[in-house]
Amino acid sequence: MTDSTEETPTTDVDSCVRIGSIVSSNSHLDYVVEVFKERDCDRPPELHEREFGQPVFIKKTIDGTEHAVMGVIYDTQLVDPDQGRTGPRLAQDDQAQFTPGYIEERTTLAGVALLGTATITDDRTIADPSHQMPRWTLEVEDTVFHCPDELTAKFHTVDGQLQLAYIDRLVDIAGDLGAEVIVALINRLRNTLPDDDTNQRVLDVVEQNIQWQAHERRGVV
Amino acid sequence: MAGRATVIGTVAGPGEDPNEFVFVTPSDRSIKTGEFITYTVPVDGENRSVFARVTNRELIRGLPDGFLADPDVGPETVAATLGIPSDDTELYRLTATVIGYYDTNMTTFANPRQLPDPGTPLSIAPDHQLETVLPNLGCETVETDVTELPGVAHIGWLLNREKQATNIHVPIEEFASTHLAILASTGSGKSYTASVLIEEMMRPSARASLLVFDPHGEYGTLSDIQGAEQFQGADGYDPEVVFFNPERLRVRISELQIGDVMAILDRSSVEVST
Repeated sequence: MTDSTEETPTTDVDSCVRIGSIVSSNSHLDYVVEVFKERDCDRPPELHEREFGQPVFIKKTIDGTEHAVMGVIYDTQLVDPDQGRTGPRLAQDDQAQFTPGYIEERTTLAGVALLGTATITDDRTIADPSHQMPRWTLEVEDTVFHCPDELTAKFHTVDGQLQLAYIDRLVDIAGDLGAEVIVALINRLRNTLPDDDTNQRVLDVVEQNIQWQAHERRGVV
Repeated sequence: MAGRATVIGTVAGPGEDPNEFVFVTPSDRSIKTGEFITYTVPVDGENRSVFARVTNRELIRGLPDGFLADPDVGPETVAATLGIPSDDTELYRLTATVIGYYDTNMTTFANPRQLPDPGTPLSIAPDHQLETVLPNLGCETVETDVTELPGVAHIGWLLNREKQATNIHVPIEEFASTHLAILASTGSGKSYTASVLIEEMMRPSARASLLVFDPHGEYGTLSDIQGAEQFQGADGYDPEVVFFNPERLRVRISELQIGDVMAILDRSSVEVST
């Protein structure tokens, strides 16, 4: 599970791991990403780099300015075109696997909800985070990058104040798993903050609220 | 009627009682419970200012209670984190009871028997109007300057308003010719109110004669009235205060009637026998 990016954390937007590419969208804020496999790129993402609740970004140049459209993985789905089309099993004792088919077509899709935008600065980091709804549409085959925790922390600090202003939109898009994706984001933010930071307490309150609402909606309380 | 600038809220609809209505105000227009408000309603083809009194105030839109989970974290901080604007988001729903409009012919309040329509703007009742109509002074117009009226006692001002903003003048004749009881809990100022009334009645404008029984010795300071400048009239009126304390009360036996003596004897004989 060790890789170069883990050992030398970087906030350089150009050296972030590529997670996959956009294949379709469900709405303006809800995109489907096909996760890269061995043959798709030099360094496909590790499992933990494309986990549920992982922040991601997509680079977009708008009107000459490079922007990072920020998002988060809120759902995943496995696709196997062969499923249900089982032919005669041709495997023999001496040949464990002989299943003519489309093994390579088995893919993992990840749902990415857009959270906001930021501009990419000359020193290849992000600045001016905005949690407003991104106005720009992404394209099919746009590359989705893994967003390291440093950039995640930067994106969540607006005018020196910790912010998760996209929260209502995210709950809407993520639906049933809305609370879980927010808790995952909060946990990630917590790790970037010192233990005695006052924002830890704020995150506690936000998490409590989200959890409670989810419990209420699911009929637990 | 006052312009929109003085509007403090808008009528939402009727309340539970026939004389009650509900209105909504934003948080920056702080209305206290008990405040007098006014709106205009046409009665017999004439626009009348109807007075009403705020009886209840409840929050209808505000930050959820969950934001108050940690006493060390202010709800506005949580709101800011979630990108929720926390300035002026609160909305209050207030209930008010109609008092009526001041009928200058009947010189008292008349009930318009109709509640304001939803959307009617409400204003704070102007101080001078309240001064004129709130106690039944029998003014023929709502513009009368009550301080000019004879025989009124200035008993104080409304607590809801600024200090001395809305002064309340009570007609002395109203309470002196009948009965008056001051009812309140201990320490709330019943004796003080009585002193104020006594002082007002001793002013040159009223010139009452008063006999105060004071078993608790609360009204001793009233003797300062005598010789005080504000109690002296232009025509030489100066109240005279005669103060009888227990030492000063002497009764000569020779001044007693036979019945008085019998009463005293009868009482002491009972005391001896017990």
